[in-house]
Amino acid sequence: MISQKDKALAQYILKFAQQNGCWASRVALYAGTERSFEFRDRQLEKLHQASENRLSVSLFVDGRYGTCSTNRMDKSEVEKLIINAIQSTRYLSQEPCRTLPQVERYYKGGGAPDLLFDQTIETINTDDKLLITKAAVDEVYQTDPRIIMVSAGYGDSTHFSYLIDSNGFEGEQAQTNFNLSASVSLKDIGDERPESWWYDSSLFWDKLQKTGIGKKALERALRKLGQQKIASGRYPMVVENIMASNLLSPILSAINGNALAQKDSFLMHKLGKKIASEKLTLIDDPHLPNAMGNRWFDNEGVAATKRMVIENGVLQTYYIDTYNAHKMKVSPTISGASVLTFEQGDKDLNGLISSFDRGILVTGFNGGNCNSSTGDFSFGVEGFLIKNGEMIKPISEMNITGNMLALWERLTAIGNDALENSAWRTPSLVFDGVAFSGL
Amino acid sequence: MGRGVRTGEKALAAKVNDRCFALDNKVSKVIASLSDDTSYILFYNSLGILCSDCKPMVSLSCYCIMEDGGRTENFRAARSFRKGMEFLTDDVVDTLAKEAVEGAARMFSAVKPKGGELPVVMAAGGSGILLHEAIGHAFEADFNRKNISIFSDKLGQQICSPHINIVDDGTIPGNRGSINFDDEGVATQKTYIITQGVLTSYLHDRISAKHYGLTSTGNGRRESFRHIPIPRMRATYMENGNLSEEDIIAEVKNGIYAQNFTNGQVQIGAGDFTFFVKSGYLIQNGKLTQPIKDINIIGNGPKALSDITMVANNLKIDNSTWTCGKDGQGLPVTQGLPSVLVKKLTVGGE
Repeated sequence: MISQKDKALAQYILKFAQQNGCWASRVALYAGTERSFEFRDRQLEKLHQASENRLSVSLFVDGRYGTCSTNRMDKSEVEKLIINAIQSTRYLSQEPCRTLPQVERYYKGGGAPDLLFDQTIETINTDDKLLITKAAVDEVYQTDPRIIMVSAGYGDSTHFSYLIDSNGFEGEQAQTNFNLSASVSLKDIGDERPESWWYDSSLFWDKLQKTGIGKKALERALRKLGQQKIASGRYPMVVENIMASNLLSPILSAINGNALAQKDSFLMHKLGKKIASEKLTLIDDPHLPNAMGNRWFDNEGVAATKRMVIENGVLQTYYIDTYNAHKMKVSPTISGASVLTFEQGDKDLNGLISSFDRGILVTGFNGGNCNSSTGDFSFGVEGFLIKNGEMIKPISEMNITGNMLALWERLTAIGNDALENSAWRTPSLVFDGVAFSGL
Repeated sequence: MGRGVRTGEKALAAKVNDRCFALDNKVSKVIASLSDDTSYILFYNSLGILCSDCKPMVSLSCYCIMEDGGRTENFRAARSFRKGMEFLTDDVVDTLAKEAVEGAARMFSAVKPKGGELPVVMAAGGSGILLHEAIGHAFEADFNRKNISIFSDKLGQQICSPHINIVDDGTIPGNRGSINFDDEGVATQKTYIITQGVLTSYLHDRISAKHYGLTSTGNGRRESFRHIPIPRMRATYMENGNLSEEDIIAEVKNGIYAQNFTNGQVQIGAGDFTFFVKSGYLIQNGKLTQPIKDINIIGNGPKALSDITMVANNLKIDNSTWTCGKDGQGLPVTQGLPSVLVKKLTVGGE
């Protein structure tokens, strides 16, 4: 956690910056620890531990803006850094759009305490962590002659942050994270060695899924044996919930203030307009209890509030921080999304698949990109050919290509299987008429 | 001591910006950036190896956004070297601005090809991404030590045309991927990974070298003191063949000429690799015709390698700001290729 001593240093640095020529300033402290290890087959392959302390300072000097950071929490060293940074900032061009947020936009406290920190993290026995990881390997080790390698990894981490600024904002956040993953490599008929993985992730040790991860990884690898590409053409596409963020991400980038201010967004001038099928309703719900991404304020101290992002396909908000709001002469909202939830449908993935005569289930992406200015995309994919409601053949080495606006307009169904272990709680999604290229 | 970007040098980024706006009145935004890093390393290990190094890196990039008739397009050009600011001449400024502006302008007339399996001519330079993704990662010896690379059983075997030689080279002066020694204190080298079509070496760190009973090839690299060294590429390229690029293009009736790339990826075990083509051209009846843009190309490493049937004599190392990611570690690399013909790859399209 962040010590009182370091908080006192941050408060001192804030005053020091003001006394040495800053019109305004912001100081952020971060402290965190990461621990992880990995078993390969039954041997411990990797141990990793890293701790970090960081102090970052934003300086608003004579209408100019600069930043600096250090991991050395020594008062005299930080003083030197600030003096140098203030001098450097004076070399920069004037940036009148850089200011602290208006005070009324700050989080003022009073929300329920953050429920993102597992107080037991330092009391969990390392042997217990090793046990569940080794068990993930043991679940499948040597259970099939085609298995070449099984690996399992465990990781946990703590993240503490403390933010103050010269307008009087003060806020603090703490979070823990636990994850368990497994991957299995198989020998196929040719030289191919298909691999698959599974994982769980949780803010709390007690809620982390500790069994079944290895088995699920093997099951997903086995069903990939014999992958082939199939004929190019337009197919209905189901995207599995764990992969749906790949298609949501370009939308979120395009409604961010940075992209809009740079005129580098395919969603310019689309606020209040229809950008997707009526099936799509996306809500940012920052205070969803125990959810990853949950927060009371953003990196400027601005209060995070529940907001409709897309309602029945109509774009309801941009994510605009203070700087970009000034640049574009519009009202700021908040710097980015917290917890994204979808209005869900009534079928799970199997239900969605069974409703198809013919289509493709996408279970993995392999490279590709999206043009941020136009929304044109092309991604490598793998998955399964669906016929008469059944997954009949594993496919790979194919691309999907199109335009984000046209794709989301053809969203025809949403699953009821939203991910619970991610800040973007994506369900499985169904799109009509997607261009696949293969043979 | 790193000396940071000086104000006179800062003006260079402004020059790139101004040059772009001067070149075309459709330019609506330019993001020009200049970075200048220097790191000093002192290395000592229990084998008694003591060495020190200075690693400079200077990068200049230009991202140009252009508007025309309500449409917007973008293009990026960059250069990066392990050099001082001496490389930042007016010529470099002119070249970058021209590449970015002409690239963005070309996008307005570009189309997407009809998707499917097509012959692909990889233009000299950044097309080295083919080597990086299709075979480079799969040759990193940690994957082979674990027996999970599609090339795990192929050492010493003929895997492509005997006219092909491929190297991973840490010795090119000033190259972004060059190092004097790796992060395990092993002197850098030029490593032939394919010699006359035969897989001659994996890329080793000390752990994999010990596993195979070999000496390390000096590929044990790490992003920073926070990370562990693992086998990583440096500058990966194919040596020249003896054809001209025109000869190669003339062979293709209906295909793709791939020229600029943004990113790539590979599945080590399955061997499926991809790279994203930012721009290129259609090839029709042996001639470059219409520009193309924003398509992914996907192939399978061993198949793609054995499908390289023609190699030109115009090797070019691409000195853009390539950064390779593996196990959460990002490292500077470069890549290069003479123009080659790959008989068949799956090209994205509508």
